[in-house]
Amino acid sequence: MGTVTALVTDSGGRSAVATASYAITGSLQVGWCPPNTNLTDLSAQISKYPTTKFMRLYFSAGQGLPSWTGAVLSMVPADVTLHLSFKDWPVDVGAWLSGRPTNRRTPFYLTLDHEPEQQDAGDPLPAAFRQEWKDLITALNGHPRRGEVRLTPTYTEYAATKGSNASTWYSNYGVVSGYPGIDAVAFDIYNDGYSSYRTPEQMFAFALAHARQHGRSLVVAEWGIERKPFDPNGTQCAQVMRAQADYLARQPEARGLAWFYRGGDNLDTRTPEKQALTDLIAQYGG
Amino acid sequence: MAAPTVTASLNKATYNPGEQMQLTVTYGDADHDVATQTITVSDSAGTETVVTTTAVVDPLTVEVSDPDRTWTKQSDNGQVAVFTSTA
Repeated sequence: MGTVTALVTDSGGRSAVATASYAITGSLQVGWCPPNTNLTDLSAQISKYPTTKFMRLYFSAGQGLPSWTGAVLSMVPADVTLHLSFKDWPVDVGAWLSGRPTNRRTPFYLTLDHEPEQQDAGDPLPAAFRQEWKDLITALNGHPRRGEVRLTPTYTEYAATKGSNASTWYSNYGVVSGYPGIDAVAFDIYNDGYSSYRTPEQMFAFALAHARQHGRSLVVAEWGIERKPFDPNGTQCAQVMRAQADYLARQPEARGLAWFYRGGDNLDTRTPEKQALTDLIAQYGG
Repeated sequence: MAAPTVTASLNKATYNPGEQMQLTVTYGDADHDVATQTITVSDSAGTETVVTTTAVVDPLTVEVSDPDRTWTKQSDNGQVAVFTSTA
């Protein structure tokens, strides 16, 4: 969901604002998140899927924000839509954005404290999470390159729907999606914990409803489907991947879908699924 | 001095990629006005020269922003401005 803002100002500095929202169909980009955020994994991933135009990179607590001219971000092609997650706050995010090379203007998704519900690996408590997001929004407000950033809180779909604290998920975390200055919302969505493959509607129902509730675009920051015992060669799983991506591509809010190429979702030896991801990248944004 | 008013409307709610999008911004201000003065100068032979000038009282500026795309102003008559972009 996009939003355009009109600002009218008179000679005395008084102003009025009006907004109009719109949706664009078929805006989905399919890509991946490498197993680990390092040069080796990113390089290998690009070699396997060289036409990818949507990449998600995460930086753990203690890693801060990555240098734009460092080895990892320099390897990301300039025309790729990047989803960058980090965990440390406070950081001088304004200076960091100012340091983005001027030949890189492709808008990117920026997430602070992804998967906050895990409450490990440096995750802030809910109140601190909400305050850090307010601080991040404020820190970038009025920045000359703010238009390149899509501020995107990223949640865990399982925690929001089936976790032990699901009943308080919205008040603790999801409420951030409604803060002025938020541009998109993201969810990490897996099929783990289900005895069969979820339908596309089931897989993305909660995330889409949340995005629509707040009038935001939707990114699936991590996507994964492990094979089920009744599907030993992965043929059905590959079909499910295609069906889920096709479904999401028809949703006006959907912008990004990143396969998390890690653990049981590493597709190197899952031939049907690997081909499905290759095809989906080519079909959607590659 | 009154504060300005503004409304913004799009010609559609949903667009296909590549489709032209049109935004209409309607704005005004109770103090905003355009005054026109006409000055006529004539010489002893009766030859006249007419000069017209305009003065804008409490001029308004219109800006459009969108994190996802660039909008281009196509027209602006001081009350209604039309912008377009590509989906």
